Amino acid sequence: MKKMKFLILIAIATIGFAFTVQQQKKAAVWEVPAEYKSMENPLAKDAAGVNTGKMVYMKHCRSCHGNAGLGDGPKAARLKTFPGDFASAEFHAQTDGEIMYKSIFGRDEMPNYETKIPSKKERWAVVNYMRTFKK
Amino acid sequence: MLRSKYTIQKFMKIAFSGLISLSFLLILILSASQSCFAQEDEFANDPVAGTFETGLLGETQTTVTPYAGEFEMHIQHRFGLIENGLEDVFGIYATSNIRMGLNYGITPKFMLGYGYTKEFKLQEFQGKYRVFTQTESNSIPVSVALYGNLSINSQDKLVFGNDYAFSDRLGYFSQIIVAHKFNDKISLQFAPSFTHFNKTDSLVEHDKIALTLSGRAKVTPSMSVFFEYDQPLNIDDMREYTNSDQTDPEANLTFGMEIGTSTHVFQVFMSNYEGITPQRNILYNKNKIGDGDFLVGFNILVRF
Repeated sequence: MKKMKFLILIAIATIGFAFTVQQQKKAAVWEVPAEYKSMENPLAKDAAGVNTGKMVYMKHCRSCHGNAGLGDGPKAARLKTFPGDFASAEFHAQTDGEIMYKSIFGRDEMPNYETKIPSKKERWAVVNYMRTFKK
Repeated sequence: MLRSKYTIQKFMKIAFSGLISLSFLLILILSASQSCFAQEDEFANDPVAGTFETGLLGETQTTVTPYAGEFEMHIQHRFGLIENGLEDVFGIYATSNIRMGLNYGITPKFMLGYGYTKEFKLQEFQGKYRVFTQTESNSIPVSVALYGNLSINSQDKLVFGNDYAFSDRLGYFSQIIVAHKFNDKISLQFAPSFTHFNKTDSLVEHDKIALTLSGRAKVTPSMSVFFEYDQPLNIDDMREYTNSDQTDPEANLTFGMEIGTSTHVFQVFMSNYEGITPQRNILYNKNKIGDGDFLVGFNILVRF
Protein backbone atom coordinates (compact mmCIF):
# COMPACT_ATOMS: atom_id res chain seq x y z
CA MET A 1 0.00 0.00 0.00
CA LYS A 2 2.83 2.35 0.93
CA LYS A 3 4.49 1.61 -2.41
CA MET A 4 1.21 2.35 -4.21
CA LYS A 5 0.86 5.74 -2.49
CA PHE A 6 4.45 6.58 -3.42
CA LEU A 7 3.84 5.69 -7.08
CA ILE A 8 0.65 7.82 -7.17
CA LEU A 9 2.61 10.72 -5.70
CA ILE A 10 5.28 10.40 -8.39
CA ALA A 11 2.59 10.23 -11.10
CA ILE A 12 0.87 13.40 -9.82
CA ALA A 13 4.23 15.22 -9.59
CA THR A 14 5.18 14.17 -13.14
CA ILE A 15 1.86 15.34 -14.58
CA GLY A 16 2.11 18.56 -12.58
CA PHE A 17 5.59 19.29 -13.90
CA ALA A 18 4.49 18.53 -17.46
CA PHE A 19 1.91 21.30 -17.25
CA THR A 20 4.37 23.79 -15.77
CA VAL A 21 6.72 23.57 -18.79
CA GLN A 22 5.88 26.63 -20.81
CA GLN A 23 5.71 26.53 -24.53
CA GLN A 24 7.92 29.30 -25.95
CA LYS A 25 6.12 31.55 -28.38
CA LYS A 26 7.60 32.70 -31.65
CA ALA A 27 8.76 36.31 -31.69
CA ALA A 28 6.28 38.80 -33.17
CA VAL A 29 7.19 40.79 -36.28
CA TRP A 30 9.87 43.37 -35.46
CA GLU A 31 9.75 46.54 -37.50
CA VAL A 32 13.17 48.17 -37.77
CA PRO A 33 13.35 51.93 -38.53
CA ALA A 34 14.22 52.58 -42.19
CA GLU A 35 17.46 54.43 -41.34
CA TYR A 36 18.85 51.33 -39.63
CA LYS A 37 17.46 48.94 -42.25
CA SER A 38 19.51 50.58 -44.99
CA MET A 39 22.56 51.29 -42.81
CA GLU A 40 25.85 50.14 -44.35
CA ASN A 41 28.13 47.87 -42.30
CA PRO A 42 31.43 49.78 -42.32
CA LEU A 43 33.44 46.93 -40.80
CA ALA A 44 35.18 44.51 -43.14
CA LYS A 45 34.03 40.91 -42.74
CA ASP A 46 37.63 39.73 -42.34
CA ALA A 47 39.09 37.45 -39.66
CA ALA A 48 39.87 40.36 -37.30
CA GLY A 49 36.33 41.75 -37.53
CA VAL A 50 34.79 38.33 -36.96
CA ASN A 51 37.08 37.51 -34.01
CA THR A 52 36.21 40.74 -32.22
CA GLY A 53 32.55 39.91 -32.80
CA LYS A 54 33.04 36.43 -31.37
CA MET A 55 34.41 37.92 -28.12
CA VAL A 56 31.42 40.23 -27.81
CA TYR A 57 28.96 37.45 -28.68
CA MET A 58 30.44 34.99 -26.19
CA LYS A 59 30.29 37.58 -23.43
CA HIS A 60 26.87 39.12 -23.97
CA CYS A 61 24.78 36.89 -26.27
CA ARG A 62 25.83 33.28 -25.77
CA SER A 63 23.89 32.64 -22.55
CA CYS A 64 20.52 32.94 -24.34
CA HIS A 65 21.29 32.54 -28.04
CA GLY A 66 23.67 29.56 -27.66
CA ASN A 67 27.17 28.89 -28.95
CA ALA A 68 25.98 28.36 -32.52
CA GLY A 69 23.14 30.89 -32.46
CA LEU A 70 20.42 28.24 -32.38
CA GLY A 71 18.58 29.89 -29.47
CA ASP A 72 19.56 27.09 -27.10
CA GLY A 73 21.80 28.85 -24.55
CA PRO A 74 21.64 27.92 -20.84
CA LYS A 75 19.20 30.77 -20.08
CA ALA A 76 17.01 30.24 -23.16
CA ALA A 77 14.60 27.78 -21.51
CA ARG A 78 13.51 30.44 -19.00
CA LEU A 79 12.47 32.89 -21.73
CA LYS A 80 8.85 33.23 -22.82
CA THR A 81 9.88 34.01 -26.38
CA PHE A 82 12.12 31.81 -28.53
CA PRO A 83 15.40 33.75 -28.97
CA GLY A 84 15.58 32.90 -32.69
CA ASP A 85 17.63 30.68 -34.96
CA PHE A 86 20.60 32.63 -36.33
CA ALA A 87 21.44 29.85 -38.76
CA SER A 88 18.10 30.10 -40.58
CA ALA A 89 17.62 31.61 -44.05
CA GLU A 90 15.00 33.94 -42.54
CA PHE A 91 17.62 35.45 -40.21
CA HIS A 92 20.19 35.91 -42.96
CA ALA A 93 17.64 37.54 -45.27
CA GLN A 94 17.84 40.60 -42.99
CA THR A 95 20.23 43.46 -43.72
CA ASP A 96 23.27 44.01 -41.44
CA GLY A 97 21.57 47.19 -40.23
CA GLU A 98 18.48 45.27 -39.13
CA ILE A 99 20.54 42.69 -37.21
CA MET A 100 22.61 45.43 -35.55
CA TYR A 101 19.49 47.38 -34.54
CA LYS A 102 17.79 44.35 -32.98
CA SER A 103 21.01 43.22 -31.24
CA ILE A 104 21.78 46.58 -29.65
CA PHE A 105 18.45 48.25 -28.99
CA GLY A 106 16.43 45.16 -28.04
CA ARG A 107 12.77 44.93 -27.01
CA ASP A 108 10.76 42.97 -24.43
CA GLU A 109 12.93 40.07 -23.19
CA MET A 110 15.84 41.03 -25.46
CA PRO A 111 17.81 43.54 -23.33
CA ASN A 112 19.16 46.86 -24.53
CA TYR A 113 22.95 46.78 -25.03
CA GLU A 114 23.59 50.44 -25.83
CA THR A 115 25.61 50.98 -22.63
CA LYS A 116 27.15 47.50 -22.42
CA ILE A 117 28.40 47.59 -26.02
CA PRO A 118 29.18 51.30 -26.50
CA SER A 119 31.77 50.75 -29.24
CA LYS A 120 30.34 51.08 -32.77
CA LYS A 121 33.08 48.77 -34.02
CA GLU A 122 32.03 46.03 -31.61
CA ARG A 123 28.36 46.48 -32.58
CA TRP A 124 29.15 45.77 -36.23
CA ALA A 125 31.68 43.09 -35.32
CA VAL A 126 29.01 41.05 -33.55
CA VAL A 127 26.86 41.26 -36.71
CA ASN A 128 29.83 39.95 -38.71
CA TYR A 129 30.19 37.05 -36.29
CA MET A 130 26.47 36.20 -36.42
CA ARG A 131 26.74 36.06 -40.21
CA THR A 132 29.12 33.10 -39.81
CA PHE A 133 26.25 30.99 -38.41
CA LYS A 134 24.81 30.62 -41.90
CA LYS A 135 24.18 26.97 -42.75
CA MET B 1 80.35 42.20 4.95
CA LEU B 2 76.76 41.83 6.03
CA ARG B 3 76.15 45.49 5.35
CA SER B 4 77.50 45.27 1.80
CA LYS B 5 75.35 42.20 1.09
CA TYR B 6 72.36 44.12 2.37
CA THR B 7 73.19 47.12 0.18
CA ILE B 8 73.48 44.89 -2.88
CA GLN B 9 70.07 43.37 -2.13
CA LYS B 10 68.55 46.83 -1.82
CA PHE B 11 70.19 47.93 -5.04
CA MET B 12 68.84 44.85 -6.83
CA LYS B 13 65.31 45.59 -5.62
CA ILE B 14 65.44 49.18 -6.84
CA ALA B 15 67.03 48.19 -10.12
CA PHE B 16 64.31 45.60 -10.64
CA SER B 17 61.48 48.08 -10.14
CA GLY B 18 63.26 50.55 -12.42
CA LEU B 19 63.51 47.80 -15.03
CA ILE B 20 59.76 47.19 -14.80
CA SER B 21 58.96 50.86 -15.44
CA LEU B 22 61.45 51.05 -18.29
CA SER B 23 60.20 47.90 -20.01
CA PHE B 24 56.59 49.11 -19.80
CA LEU B 25 57.53 52.44 -21.40
CA LEU B 26 59.54 50.65 -24.09
CA ILE B 27 56.63 48.34 -24.91
CA LEU B 28 54.30 51.33 -25.12
CA ILE B 29 56.59 53.23 -27.48
CA LEU B 30 57.04 50.17 -29.69
CA SER B 31 53.34 49.40 -29.83
CA ALA B 32 52.40 53.03 -30.52
CA SER B 33 54.69 53.04 -33.53
CA GLN B 34 53.24 49.75 -34.77
CA SER B 35 49.66 50.90 -34.24
CA CYS B 36 47.88 47.60 -33.72
CA PHE B 37 44.50 49.11 -34.45
CA ALA B 38 45.70 51.00 -37.50
CA GLN B 39 42.51 51.52 -39.43
CA GLU B 40 41.90 54.58 -41.51
CA ASP B 41 38.16 54.28 -41.09
CA GLU B 42 35.29 55.79 -39.20
CA PHE B 43 36.28 53.94 -36.03
CA ALA B 44 39.73 55.60 -35.90
CA ASN B 45 38.87 58.13 -33.22
CA ASP B 46 36.54 55.86 -31.22
CA PRO B 47 37.67 54.84 -27.73
CA VAL B 48 38.85 51.23 -27.53
CA ALA B 49 36.49 48.92 -25.68
CA GLY B 50 37.35 46.17 -23.23
CA THR B 51 40.91 47.10 -22.25
CA PHE B 52 40.11 45.11 -19.11
CA GLU B 53 37.02 43.19 -18.13
CA THR B 54 36.23 45.37 -15.13
CA GLY B 55 37.64 48.02 -12.78
CA LEU B 56 39.40 45.43 -10.62
CA LEU B 57 42.08 42.94 -11.65
CA GLY B 58 43.19 40.68 -8.81
CA GLU B 59 44.48 43.15 -6.20
CA THR B 60 44.77 46.24 -8.39
CA GLN B 61 42.48 48.77 -10.02
CA THR B 62 42.30 49.11 -13.80
CA THR B 63 41.39 52.08 -16.00
CA VAL B 64 37.88 50.68 -16.48
CA THR B 65 34.95 52.38 -14.71
CA PRO B 66 31.28 51.27 -14.58
CA TYR B 67 28.96 52.75 -17.20
CA ALA B 68 26.97 55.84 -16.23
CA GLY B 69 24.15 54.77 -13.95
CA GLU B 70 25.52 51.27 -13.43
CA PHE B 71 26.16 49.64 -10.04
CA GLU B 72 28.98 47.18 -9.55
CA MET B 73 28.93 45.01 -6.45
CA HIS B 74 32.22 43.46 -5.31
CA ILE B 75 32.71 40.41 -3.13
CA GLN B 76 36.42 39.86 -2.47
CA HIS B 77 37.67 36.93 -0.45
CA ARG B 78 41.18 35.91 0.62
CA PHE B 79 41.84 32.55 2.28
CA GLY B 80 44.82 31.97 4.57
CA LEU B 81 48.35 31.17 3.37
CA ILE B 82 48.78 27.84 1.60
CA GLU B 83 51.89 27.03 3.71
CA ASN B 84 50.19 24.52 6.02
CA GLY B 85 49.19 22.22 3.20
CA LEU B 86 46.51 19.67 3.96
CA GLU B 87 46.37 20.66 7.64
CA ASP B 88 44.04 23.54 6.78
CA VAL B 89 43.48 22.50 3.13
CA PHE B 90 45.86 25.09 1.71
CA GLY B 91 44.44 27.95 3.76
CA ILE B 92 40.75 27.31 3.09
CA TYR B 93 40.09 26.61 6.79
CA ALA B 94 42.54 29.29 7.98
CA THR B 95 41.52 32.80 9.02
CA SER B 96 40.31 34.65 5.97
CA ASN B 97 39.69 38.23 4.98
CA ILE B 98 36.66 39.51 3.10
CA ARG B 99 35.53 42.76 1.55
CA MET B 100 32.18 43.80 0.18
CA GLY B 101 31.79 46.95 -1.84
CA LEU B 102 29.56 48.87 -4.18
CA ASN B 103 30.71 51.16 -7.00
CA TYR B 104 28.50 53.47 -9.02
CA GLY B 105 29.22 55.05 -12.39
CA ILE B 106 28.24 58.72 -12.14
CA THR B 107 29.39 59.49 -15.68
CA PRO B 108 30.96 57.09 -18.22
CA LYS B 109 34.38 58.18 -16.89
CA PHE B 110 33.81 58.85 -13.21
CA MET B 111 32.83 56.47 -10.43
CA LEU B 112 32.44 56.57 -6.67
CA GLY B 113 32.38 53.59 -4.36
CA TYR B 114 32.10 52.39 -0.81
CA GLY B 115 33.29 49.17 0.77
CA TYR B 116 34.10 47.52 4.06
CA THR B 117 36.83 45.03 4.86
CA LYS B 118 36.80 42.54 7.72
CA GLU B 119 40.43 42.97 8.83
CA PHE B 120 40.85 46.16 10.91
CA LYS B 121 37.14 46.90 10.29
CA LEU B 122 38.03 49.21 7.43
CA GLN B 123 35.38 51.46 5.92
CA GLU B 124 36.48 52.71 2.54
CA PHE B 125 35.46 55.44 0.17
CA GLN B 126 36.92 55.43 -3.30
CA GLY B 127 36.76 57.34 -6.54
CA LYS B 128 38.18 56.86 -10.01
CA TYR B 129 38.27 59.21 -12.98
CA ARG B 130 39.41 58.19 -16.45
CA VAL B 131 41.24 61.17 -17.88
CA PHE B 132 42.11 59.71 -21.30
CA THR B 133 40.80 56.73 -23.20
CA GLN B 134 42.96 55.00 -25.81
CA THR B 135 41.58 55.36 -29.34
CA GLU B 136 41.29 52.68 -32.05
CA SER B 137 43.89 54.42 -34.20
CA ASN B 138 46.23 54.98 -31.23
CA SER B 139 46.06 58.75 -31.73
CA ILE B 140 45.74 58.56 -27.92
CA PRO B 141 48.00 55.55 -27.23
CA VAL B 142 47.01 54.90 -23.62
CA SER B 143 44.10 55.07 -21.24
CA VAL B 144 44.89 57.01 -18.07
CA ALA B 145 42.90 56.95 -14.85
CA LEU B 146 43.30 58.54 -11.43
CA TYR B 147 42.24 56.48 -8.44
CA GLY B 148 41.90 57.52 -4.81
CA ASN B 149 40.91 55.54 -1.74
CA LEU B 150 40.28 56.75 1.81
CA SER B 151 40.04 54.10 4.49
CA ILE B 152 38.72 54.57 8.02
CA ASN B 153 39.79 52.06 10.63
CA SER B 154 36.64 51.57 12.70
CA GLN B 155 38.14 49.45 15.48
CA ASP B 156 37.77 50.51 19.11
CA LYS B 157 39.75 53.67 19.89
CA LEU B 158 41.85 51.79 22.49
CA VAL B 159 43.69 50.20 19.53
CA PHE B 160 45.18 53.59 18.62
CA GLY B 161 46.95 54.12 21.94
CA ASN B 162 47.50 57.40 23.76
CA ASP B 163 46.52 60.84 22.41
CA TYR B 164 43.82 59.39 20.24
CA ALA B 165 42.39 61.59 17.50
CA PHE B 166 39.91 60.61 14.79
CA SER B 167 42.52 61.32 12.12
CA ASP B 168 44.55 58.33 13.46
CA ARG B 169 42.02 56.09 11.78
CA LEU B 170 42.62 57.41 8.27
CA GLY B 171 44.71 55.82 5.51
CA TYR B 172 45.04 57.16 1.98
CA PHE B 173 45.93 55.58 -1.33
CA SER B 174 46.28 57.44 -4.60
CA GLN B 175 47.31 56.01 -7.93
CA ILE B 176 47.77 56.97 -11.54
CA ILE B 177 46.96 54.09 -13.87
CA VAL B 178 48.28 53.96 -17.44
CA ALA B 179 46.94 51.14 -19.60
CA HIS B 180 47.41 50.04 -23.19
CA LYS B 181 45.32 47.54 -25.12
CA PHE B 182 47.61 45.85 -27.63
CA ASN B 183 44.92 43.84 -29.38
CA ASP B 184 41.68 42.04 -28.53
CA LYS B 185 43.62 39.58 -26.39
CA ILE B 186 46.43 41.42 -24.62
CA SER B 187 46.31 44.49 -22.35
CA LEU B 188 48.99 45.80 -19.99
CA GLN B 189 49.01 48.53 -17.39
CA PHE B 190 51.51 50.35 -15.22
CA ALA B 191 50.44 52.16 -12.06
CA PRO B 192 52.63 54.14 -9.66
CA SER B 193 50.93 54.82 -6.33
CA PHE B 194 51.36 56.79 -3.13
CA THR B 195 50.17 55.44 0.24
CA HIS B 196 49.88 57.42 3.44
CA PHE B 197 48.68 56.45 6.92
CA ASN B 198 48.17 59.09 9.60
CA LYS B 199 49.14 56.63 12.30
CA THR B 200 51.16 53.48 11.78
CA ASP B 201 52.56 50.65 13.89
CA SER B 202 55.89 51.24 15.61
CA LEU B 203 58.76 51.88 13.14
CA VAL B 204 56.46 51.56 10.12
CA GLU B 205 56.79 54.52 7.76
CA HIS B 206 53.82 56.75 7.13
CA ASP B 207 54.38 57.14 3.38
CA LYS B 208 55.20 54.65 0.66
CA ILE B 209 55.56 54.93 -3.09
CA ALA B 210 54.92 51.72 -5.03
CA LEU B 211 54.91 50.57 -8.64
CA THR B 212 52.43 48.09 -10.07
CA LEU B 213 52.62 46.28 -13.38
CA SER B 214 49.73 44.09 -14.44
CA GLY B 215 48.29 42.55 -17.55
CA ARG B 216 45.87 40.06 -18.94
CA ALA B 217 45.75 37.75 -21.93
CA LYS B 218 42.52 36.24 -23.24
CA VAL B 219 42.67 32.49 -23.68
CA THR B 220 39.10 32.06 -24.95
CA PRO B 221 36.52 34.78 -25.74
CA SER B 222 35.28 34.76 -22.15
CA MET B 223 38.30 33.49 -20.16
CA SER B 224 41.62 35.24 -19.51
CA VAL B 225 44.76 34.71 -17.49
CA PHE B 226 46.26 37.67 -15.67
CA PHE B 227 49.20 38.70 -13.52
CA GLU B 228 50.12 41.60 -11.26
CA TYR B 229 53.42 42.62 -9.68
CA ASP B 230 53.59 45.28 -6.95
CA GLN B 231 56.91 46.70 -5.82
CA PRO B 232 56.98 49.09 -2.85
CA LEU B 233 59.99 51.41 -3.16
CA ASN B 234 62.01 50.88 0.01
CA ILE B 235 64.62 53.52 -0.75
CA ASP B 236 67.09 54.44 2.00
CA ASP B 237 67.24 58.14 1.03
CA MET B 238 63.49 58.43 1.52
CA ARG B 239 63.42 56.90 4.99
CA GLU B 240 61.58 58.50 7.84
CA TYR B 241 63.35 56.42 10.53
CA THR B 242 66.86 55.01 10.30
CA ASN B 243 65.79 51.54 11.43
CA SER B 244 62.55 51.32 9.52
CA ASP B 245 64.03 48.83 7.03
CA GLN B 246 63.09 46.15 9.59
CA THR B 247 59.46 46.82 8.78
CA ASP B 248 59.83 47.29 5.01
CA PRO B 249 56.83 45.90 3.12
CA GLU B 250 57.37 43.05 0.69
CA ALA B 251 56.62 42.94 -3.03
CA ASN B 252 53.58 41.06 -4.29
CA LEU B 253 52.92 38.71 -7.17
CA THR B 254 49.38 37.83 -8.17
CA PHE B 255 48.44 35.44 -10.96
CA GLY B 256 45.17 33.81 -11.83
CA MET B 257 42.29 33.46 -14.23
CA GLU B 258 39.24 35.55 -14.99
CA ILE B 259 35.88 34.67 -16.49
CA GLY B 260 33.71 37.51 -17.75
CA THR B 261 30.06 37.47 -18.74
CA SER B 262 27.63 40.25 -19.53
CA THR B 263 26.67 40.75 -15.89
CA HIS B 264 29.33 38.95 -13.81
CA VAL B 265 33.10 38.74 -13.56
CA PHE B 266 34.85 35.97 -11.61
CA GLN B 267 38.54 36.08 -10.74
CA VAL B 268 40.37 33.26 -8.97
CA PHE B 269 44.06 33.77 -8.23
CA MET B 270 47.07 33.28 -6.00
CA SER B 271 48.58 36.28 -4.29
CA ASN B 272 50.90 37.41 -1.48
CA TYR B 273 48.51 40.15 -0.41
CA GLU B 274 45.91 39.48 2.27
CA GLY B 275 44.78 43.02 3.14
CA ILE B 276 42.45 43.55 0.13
CA THR B 277 42.47 47.33 0.73
CA PRO B 278 45.37 48.73 -1.36
CA GLN B 279 46.93 50.93 1.33
CA ARG B 280 47.09 48.02 3.82
CA ASN B 281 48.61 45.80 1.14
CA ILE B 282 51.28 48.25 0.07
CA LEU B 283 52.44 49.27 3.55
CA TYR B 284 52.00 46.17 5.66
CA ASN B 285 52.58 43.13 3.45
CA LYS B 286 54.98 40.69 5.10
CA ASN B 287 54.38 37.73 2.80
CA LYS B 288 57.42 37.07 0.65
CA ILE B 289 57.27 35.87 -2.94
CA GLY B 290 60.58 34.01 -2.49
CA ASP B 291 59.34 32.17 0.60
CA GLY B 292 56.23 30.98 -1.20
CA ASP B 293 53.88 32.91 1.11
CA PHE B 294 50.96 32.72 -1.28
CA LEU B 295 47.24 32.50 -0.61
CA VAL B 296 44.19 31.76 -2.73
CA GLY B 297 41.77 34.61 -3.35
CA PHE B 298 38.73 35.28 -5.45
CA ASN B 299 36.75 38.31 -6.58
CA ILE B 300 33.15 38.23 -7.70
CA LEU B 301 31.76 41.32 -9.43
CA VAL B 302 28.12 41.75 -10.29
CA ARG B 303 26.90 44.56 -12.56
CA PHE B 304 23.35 45.82 -12.45
